[in-house]
Parts: sequence; structure tokens; C-alpha cells
Amino acid sequence: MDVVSTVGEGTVVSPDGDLNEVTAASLRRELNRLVAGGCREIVMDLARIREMDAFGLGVLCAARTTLNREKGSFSVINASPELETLLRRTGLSRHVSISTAE
Amino acid sequence: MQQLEEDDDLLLVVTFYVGNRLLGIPTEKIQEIIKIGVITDVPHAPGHIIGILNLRGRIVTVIDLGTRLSLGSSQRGEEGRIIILDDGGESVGLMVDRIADVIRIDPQELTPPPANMKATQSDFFDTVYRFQGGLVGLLAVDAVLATD
Amino acid sequence: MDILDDEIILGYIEESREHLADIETDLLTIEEQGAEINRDLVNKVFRAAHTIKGGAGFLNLTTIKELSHGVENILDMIRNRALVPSREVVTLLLLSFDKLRDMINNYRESNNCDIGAIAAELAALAGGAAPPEQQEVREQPEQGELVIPLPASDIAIRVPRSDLERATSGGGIPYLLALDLMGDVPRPGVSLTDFIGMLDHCGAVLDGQVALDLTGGLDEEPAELLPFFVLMVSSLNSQELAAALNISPDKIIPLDESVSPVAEPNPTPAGSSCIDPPEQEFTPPPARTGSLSPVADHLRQSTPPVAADHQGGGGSLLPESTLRINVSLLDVLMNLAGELVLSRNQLLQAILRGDQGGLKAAGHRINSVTSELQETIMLTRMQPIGTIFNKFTRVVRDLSRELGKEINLVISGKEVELDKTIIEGLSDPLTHLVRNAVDHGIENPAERHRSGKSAGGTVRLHAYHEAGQVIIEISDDGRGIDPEKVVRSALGKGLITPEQARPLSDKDKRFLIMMPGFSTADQVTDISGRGVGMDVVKTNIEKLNGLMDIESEIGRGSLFQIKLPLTLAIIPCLFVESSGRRYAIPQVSVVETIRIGEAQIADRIQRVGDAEVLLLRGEIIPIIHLNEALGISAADAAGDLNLVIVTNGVMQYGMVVQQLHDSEEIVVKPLGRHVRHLKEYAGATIMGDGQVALILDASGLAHSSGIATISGAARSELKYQEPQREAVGESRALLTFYNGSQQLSVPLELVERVEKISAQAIEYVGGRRVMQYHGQVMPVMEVGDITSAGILDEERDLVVIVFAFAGREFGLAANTPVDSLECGSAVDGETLRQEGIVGSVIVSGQTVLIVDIVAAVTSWHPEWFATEIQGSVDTYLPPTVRLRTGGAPNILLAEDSDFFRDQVSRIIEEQGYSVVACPDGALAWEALNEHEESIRLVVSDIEMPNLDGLGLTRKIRGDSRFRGLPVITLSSLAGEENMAQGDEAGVTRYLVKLDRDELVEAIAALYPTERI
Repeated sequence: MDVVSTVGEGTVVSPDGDLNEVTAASLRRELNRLVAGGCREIVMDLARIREMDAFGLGVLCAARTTLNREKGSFSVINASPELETLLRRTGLSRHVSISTAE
Repeated sequence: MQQLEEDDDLLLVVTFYVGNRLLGIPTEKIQEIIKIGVITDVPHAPGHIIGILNLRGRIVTVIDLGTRLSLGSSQRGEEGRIIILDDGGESVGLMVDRIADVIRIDPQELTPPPANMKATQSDFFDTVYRFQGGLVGLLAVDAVLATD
Repeated sequence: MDILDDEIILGYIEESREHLADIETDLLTIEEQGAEINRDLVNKVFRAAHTIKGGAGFLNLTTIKELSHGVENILDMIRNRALVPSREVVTLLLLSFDKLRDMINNYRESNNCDIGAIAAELAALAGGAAPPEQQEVREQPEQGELVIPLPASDIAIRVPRSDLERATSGGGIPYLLALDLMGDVPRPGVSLTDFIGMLDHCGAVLDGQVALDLTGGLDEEPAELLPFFVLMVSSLNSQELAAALNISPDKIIPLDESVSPVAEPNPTPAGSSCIDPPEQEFTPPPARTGSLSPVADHLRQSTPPVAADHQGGGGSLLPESTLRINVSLLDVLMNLAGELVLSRNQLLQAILRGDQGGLKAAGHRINSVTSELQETIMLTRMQPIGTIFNKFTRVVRDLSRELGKEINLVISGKEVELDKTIIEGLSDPLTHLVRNAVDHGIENPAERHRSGKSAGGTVRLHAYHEAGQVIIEISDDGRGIDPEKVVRSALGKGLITPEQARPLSDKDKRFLIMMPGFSTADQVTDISGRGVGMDVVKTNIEKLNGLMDIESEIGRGSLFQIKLPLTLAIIPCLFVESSGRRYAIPQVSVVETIRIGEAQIADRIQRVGDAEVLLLRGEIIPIIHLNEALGISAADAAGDLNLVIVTNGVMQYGMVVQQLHDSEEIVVKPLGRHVRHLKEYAGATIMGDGQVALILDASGLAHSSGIATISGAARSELKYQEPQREAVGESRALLTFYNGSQQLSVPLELVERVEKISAQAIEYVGGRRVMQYHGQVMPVMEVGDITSAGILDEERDLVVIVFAFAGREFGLAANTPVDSLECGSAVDGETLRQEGIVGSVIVSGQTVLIVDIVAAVTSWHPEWFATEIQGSVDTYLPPTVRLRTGGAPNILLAEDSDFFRDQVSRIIEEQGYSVVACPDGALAWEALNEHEESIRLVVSDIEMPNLDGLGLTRKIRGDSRFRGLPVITLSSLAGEENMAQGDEAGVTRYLVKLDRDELVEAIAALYPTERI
């Protein structure tokens, strides 16, 4: 379901579908595995995500917290306009770089 | 310089003339050989030091090999060359009168310097080699470059 | 607003870093000056904080802005003499700037930084702010942003005050909602987006923040709640709001006008929410004005002095990934890059054509260009050692206070340059050595008193060049290192056996302290113990290919010497020539250069026994002839004598050379082992033409020439005729020269250098006289430009007297002979006063006029300070003052911050105007005069050096030429008082900085549509 690819120094994670309570758990595991494996730069590609709920948001927050602690970086790309709005209005955009799909 | 194959047993030696003496240094000790360019005099330096020159940004001391070996000073002619040696990380140059061939020497055929060689000189020669009817004196490079 | 454009913010960070670089030194100086404040210095620090604050506001770096605002207040009070910069005050400021520096270096995280404690301290000191309320709502009037920190979190709600005002103006009530996005969003069916939409329906949502740091990390158990705080304004009451959102009313906290909670929130919220109620305390410790509160103490412990800060993690300096390099070096690099491209093309062509000769030629060219390129790039990495030396002032200050000792740190040789990596590698070892000196070396005042020493000890940091090496010495006048104690300690630790110890000399014994595992047990203290022993210092130095040496005397002090045999050191040198050969003399050894006319030789040069001496301003100085000293050739030809007066640190002597050349910065190359021992030389250098020049060692040369200081007996032998001196008044040193046949002079202290030139060296570009000087284009004046006194004789030998003025160099062409003299008499400022002449002095019966060089420069070329000259002569002007676009400027901008000046210029230009931008009010005034005809509007900052915005405005208003010229001032100090001042000065419109739209609108409104 998730596509993980390495681009330069970072890893791009491109989950598919919705980010909700169910899928959030497995995404969380995936990200944790990456970080434990030494990955310090993670880019979350939301191109294939339609909707996100609080659990999905929670995973993004956790990812940012962890990567921050590890002095790495976490950013989001290809957010749809709706997702971008959501991330902005919940204040996440102040702490994580969010870019939209062109 | 010709590309000669390296035979495990044989030693490649660059031969050159100081005055009319044929001398040699193993190629492995030689960094490069350059033409004589501008050399800056260093007043008060020991007699066999000609001066210093700029080799791609590094200051290289140039020794007149002839003077060093008491064979008379270098002629500094058209054919004169400076053999650059690696001296423990530093580059030092030896000025000679003419470069001859690169020869292959069987180390087993090397013999000690002749007894009639002047005492002052024998320190500077490791061994000699019979070559085409003449003798090639192989330089004891460390002794030549010593700063005593 | 997200963090902006990288380029803009990086520019701001750079500028801020620069401001912060000097602040520590400045603050320490301010502390030293105490009540006798140097207003300019305080202003300088104030402006730094002010500029940082301004940019931070613009870039939404709110915490940085807040802290710099707090600091700014204190500095303002200091400069208005409302507060004395006592030790406590300065310590607090130092800590604040440390914090600012941290935040600047981590600007992305800076908004999350907790500055509560230190901000409270600053506020308390300012005596104005009330202790923060429970919620710690801080007001920031200038940008009008409200910050509400969230409980137990680093995140804060932020909203522009104006937004809040607008929202509540219709009678709505502001609320803070403490929600849980996981628990409070009804499921299924309602998405987050929907939920936020619901909030929007109920009122105006001003800001919303998830408490990011409360969610835990990936490796922790996923939190069961996602705290989300919302600031919104609604006309519904709490109950209605709760109902509309289907949440518990506990989660809704109404706020009153001052945005503090109106009611005590319920301490036990219903539901699964475990968010602590907002009354979670954050109580700052009580601030005691005037004394160091526990908070500052705590802060100090957690923010140790700069040195230690950067010892963690491999001990590197601030992770600055940028470097300042000289523009001229960049030019050289550009040229070389161009050359390389050409050679590559040559190479390719030769390969294609199978042209052997061409291949060789191209190969040679690439060879030489590559090495030059390599060398030049290495040069860009050279940094002055002052960058690490400077921080030690603070280290010593803090440490000595802590230990109750009085210690004076003397630093010399700050300008010695080293490669960046070497400097970084030296940072730790030097820190350790300095701390050692303070901790173990210098005794406490009581002990010193008992030993008959002064109460205060001295630690000396000294860097200098010698024989192609850089030597760094750390010395102290403390108790010295006792070799026996060291041995005992080493024996005790089992580091050596008694047999090994026996044959050791005192010096060897002292060296034992560098053995691994050593550190005298009774001396390990928290402060410099730290598990870092002298052996680590030694290892670090050896890593840099250096050597360490220790000298010490019990009771007298110790000296630690680090010798770095560098292959790369750059020093400025004077080039001289004798017998056709060039030699370089390190500028540090050169005292001055003198030319003695043939006629005066007999007077000035005499023999004492075998030695020749020079009479120089009442001193007797031995001289040598360089070519004799080096044995190159015999005596110098007759004629004028060129002398270089050099010093070996102990004494001076003169060196006669045949020619004097320019000064240049050169790279010192070590000599090979065969010639290294020669004392006369400190190394060699490769000149521009690829030739090698030897670098003379002043002390070695003195040695080998057999110069000793002339004994007292010899001196008394010599009857020196002192020139007629008038009354013993203030002695003035003058440099005399000729303009044709007229002798004139200038104050020697203004003179930087005197260089011989040929008349051809002076070029005329764009109607102005200039010459190439050290790779720069330098303007050159003649006496005739300043005053009518003689005519420069271009047929005769010419010199140019170089003055350094406000960071720029100017030359004055003059005729020889040039000499220096001390006139004991007072300067007569009346009798011969005329334009360009500041006075005259009588020397040996002659009247010597003193040229007013200062006035000459400022009045004769005011445009040098204001505008760019067309053509190629534009490299010597400071890049900050220039015409931005072609054509005459119609708007004048005065702003001292590079960053803002750039920003505002851009904004104005976008509107189609042409701007002339100046970094201070005085230059702006000059520019205004220069462009009197075209400038139609002025935009100015208030706080600027030399002449501030209000001063500039008053000047404009006071001048009838500028009647009606609109003046817009930009300021971050928008208070009633300031606006009143602005009005009084005659400001047309008073704007708060960086509201782009307001500025554009103001310009549009005020720019005159018809000619006045």
C-alpha cells in the first residue's frame, strides 16, 4: 500500500487511500521502522491521500516530533488543497513544511 | 621518457651526467624531472645549494649535485635538468648536466664503489654498475640530501 | 504565516549574526565603563537588537522578536541613563544575547523556544511590566500580535491584535477552546475538515494549533487524544457554543478584553480529556531587581559561557556554514575560473586536431591555473585568530568571578590569520589552557597578596608569526607549575616509576602533565576538570601538526606555547629590492619607511665605532645595508637612501635597501630543510609572476649582522644635536612633504603609508584622479585641489601618501623628500589660516604649513560618499550606497539595516521609482544635496548612526530648497511620544515599519504629481 522510495538523502513515503484510525497505525509503524533504521529525512507524499482524520494527523505530529528530536527533518508534499487547508488550520503548517500538488 | 615494463627483478634507473660522470637514481625515488628555470638565490645558504624555485606552488630547494659530489659545479647548460626527489614529504631538486637513458639493472650485478674513489665521494655512492663499457654510479640519495 | 523565502531569511540570519558577533565585546566594554556610558557604543548595541527585532517581526520569528524587544528596552533605559549597566544588568544582557544567538542559529525552531524566564527577568529589570498573569499573555504593541502559550506545551496561539479587535468589535466574545480532535469530533461521518467548518459556523476562528509536542513520538504508544487549541470569537455564549459543537462546556474558556480567562475553569473536566486546565501554573520566580535572581543563575548554568557551549559533540565552533570572504579574492577566483575554461577549450581543440604542441601548451596552462585556483581557494578559508580569542574575554570574566579571583585578560595578535579548520581545531585546546590558567594558574587575591603580588592576576593570549610558523602563547603570572608536585602526582598515579622519574629535568617533569590519565588530584575542579586532560589538549594540537611547549617558574607564572608549523599562513609584507633581488619583510616587523635625501645623509647617518646609525626623531637606531648583510654585493650606490625601520619586538633598526616596493598580502611558504636553519629568513613566497622571494626575518637578520643595541657608553659618545625646539608644548608628529618647492605637512597619525609611485600610476577616469592600489582603485588628490601652495612637480619623484578614512583609502600625491618630524611647538592655527590649511608650525626657523586633509576629503569629494561613479571606477565605494537603477533618483531612502534597506528599496522600485539608498542620515543628506534636482520624496528610518531620521528631517525642513519635500519615516517605535517627536521635526507621515501596503500607499499619496 505504501510506497517508500529513497530520493537523495531522504526517504519519500507515499501512502495510498485515506489516513484514518485504521491506516494510521500501520503508517506509524512504517515510519517508526524507517527512523529506527537510521532515516532522518522523511518526506510525506500525500498525493494519493483523499482524506485524513485526527489519527492521521496524530501520526504526522508524531513523525514531526520524533524527527525533530533526532535533529532530522519531516515535510509534507503534494497535499491537495483540502488537506493543505486542514494542515494549516490545525496549525501543523507552522511546524512542518507543507507543499501542495501543482 | 619511454615506458619500460617493470620486471620484478630488475631495477629501473634513470641515468644522467654530472660533468662527464654517469650517475643513476632508481626511478621510484624520482618525482619528476624539470628543465632549469628561474632559481632564486638564497644568500648564506651552504655552498652546494643553488637556491629555491617554485614548483606548482611549492618551494623546492635545488642542490647542485656536481658541487655536492665535489665533481665541479653544474654547467647549467641547455641540457641541464633538475631531478626532483621526494624527501620525506618535501621536494628537493638535484641539478645535473644532462639526462641519459633509463636502464634496467639487475640488482645482483651491482658492485660496491671502487676503492680509488675519493673518500669524500664514496659516501654518496651506494654501488656501481657496469654498463656498456662504463660505470654508472648509483647515488645514495639519503646521503646526498643529508643536511650535515 | 510560514517561514518565508529562504533567500530572504538567510540574508536576515547573516545580518543578525554579524550584529551579534561583536555584541559580547561591546557589552563587556559597556560594563567596564559603568556609569560613564559611551552613548555611541550603547546605541550600537541598541541598534543591533532593534534591527534583529525588526527583521524578526517581518519574518514572523516571534520569539526572537520578543526577546530582542525585551533587550532593546533595557538598552534604551541604559542610554537614557535610567539604568546603570552594572554587572548584573550586563550579565543578564549577555545571557539574553546568547539566547538570541541560539535562536538565530536555529531559526526554524525559534518560535518554539521558551524564553519565559529570561523575558520575565528583562521585564522585571525594566521595572515596567507587571509579573505575568497566569496565562502569561504578553502584549506586543508594535506589531500588535497576541501570544497565548498553551499549558505544558511549547506551542502558542498567535493572532494579530488587529484581527482580534476587528472580530470582537461587533460584540463577539473571544474564547479559547481546548479540544481533543480524536475525542471531540463525532464519528462516524464528520471529517476534520467538516469539524473545522463547524467552528467557522459558530464564529470567527482566529487561530488553531495542535499541541504538537504533546502527541509523543513515533516510537511511543499512539496518544489517545490530539490536543487542539482554538482561539475564536463568537456571539454565542459558552453554553450555546458547546451545544453547537457538541462538546463539553468545560472545554470552552471565555476570555475577557485583556484576553485573560474570566472564570476559574473547572479543575476536573468531564470526559476522557486529560488536558490539564489552563490554570496549569507557570509561575516565574519572583524577580528581584538589581540582583541576580535564581532564574538567571539557573539560566547561566544551563547556558554555560560560549566556550563550553561549543565543546559538546566534537567541539566545533558555531555551525556556521557560511564564510565571509574578500570580494577581491572572489574576483581572482572568477578570473581563474575563466582561465580554466579557456585552457580546457584549448585542450579539447588540441586533442581533436591531434596537435601535440597544442596539447603541451594547454597542459601547462591548466597546470598552472589549477594550482593557482587551489591556492586562492585555500586563501578564502583564512580567518583571523581574533574570532576565537575574543570569546575568551567573556570566559575569563565569568570564570574569575565564579572563583572569586581578579583576572585581567590581555590579548594581542588578533589579526594573525589561520585556516578555518585550524582555528576550529584550536578552539578547544585554547579554551582548556585559558581555563587552566584562570583556575589553577592564578592564585586568589589573598594568596597573591601574601606572595607580595598584585591582587589581580594577568593572563595573556598572544599570537604572532615567526619563521613561517604561527605561535600562540598563553601565559599567566600565577603560581607556576611545581615540577616536584607533578612528579609526585605522576608517581602516585602509577604513570611513571621512580627510576624513570630520576633523570628527568624540571622541564621534562612539567611535561608529565600531558601524560594521559594525569590531572593533579587536588586540582581537579568542576570548572576545568571535566574529564578533559592536558593530554587531550596535546593530542588536539598534534592533530594540527603543532607542537606544545611549557615554560614555568614557581611563584612567577607559566607559559604554554603552541607552535603551528603551517604550510599556509598569510601575512601582509612590504617588498623591497636590493641588487636586483626582491625580498619581503613582514609588515608586523616594519615600523616605517624613510627616505633620506642625499644632502641630509651626513646629518642623519653617523658612525659609532664600526656601526652605522641613524638619527631618527631623537633616537639612535643602528642600521644595516641589506645587500651587505646578505653578502650579495658591496655598498649601495650614492644618492638618496631608502630605509626600512624594522623591529624584532625588542629593538628597532634600519635596513638600507635600494628600492621600496608595494605592500602585499602574501602566502608564507616554509623553506626546505636544507635552508630552514638560516635565521635571516622566515620563509619564502611566490610572487605574482611566479618567482620566488625570500621573506626576511627581522630578528634573524639583526643577529647575523651582528647588531646589538648600542651600549650606553657608545650612545653617550655621540653628541646629538637636537634641532631647535620651541617651547615644550604638546609634541606633534607631522609628515612633511613637498608640493613642488613648497614644503607642507599633514598630521602623521592620519597617514597610513607612503609609497613611491611613478607619474604614470595616476590615471584619470571620468574626470577624476585615481590609481590602482592593492587591487583596488583609490582616489588620489593633489595639494592643488585643497589649497594653493606650490605646484606638484610631475617630473620629479612622486610619492602617494595614503590615508585611511572611514574605512576607505585616499591618496595625496606629493613630491619627495618625505620626512617625519616632531614639532615641539604648538600649532599656530591663526596666522596662516586659509582654505585647506589648518595651521602652521615653525621648525628650525622654517614655516611649515599643515594641510587640512580631513576637511579636504569630506568637502572636495562628498559624492564619493553618496553615489556611484559611472564607468569602471565603481569598485571602491561601499556597496551599500548606490544608485539602484539608471537615471536620476527620485526617492531618497535612509536605512541602516542592510536587510531592510534592500527590502524597502525593492518595494519602492517595484512601484516604478528610482531610489538612492543610504546607510545613515549623514550620507542621506549628502545624497540629497547631490540629487537636489531629482529627489521628490524621502523615506527614512528613525534609528540610524551619524544622523538619525528626526535629525535628517529637521535638516530638510530647515533648508528652503527642500520646502515641501515629503518625508516619510519608518519606525518600529510607534508610540504616541514618538509620533509627537516626528510631528515636531516636520515628518510628513509616520509609518510603522514594513507594512508594505501602507508604504506603497503613502508614497503614492505623497509623491508630488507636478514639479514644485
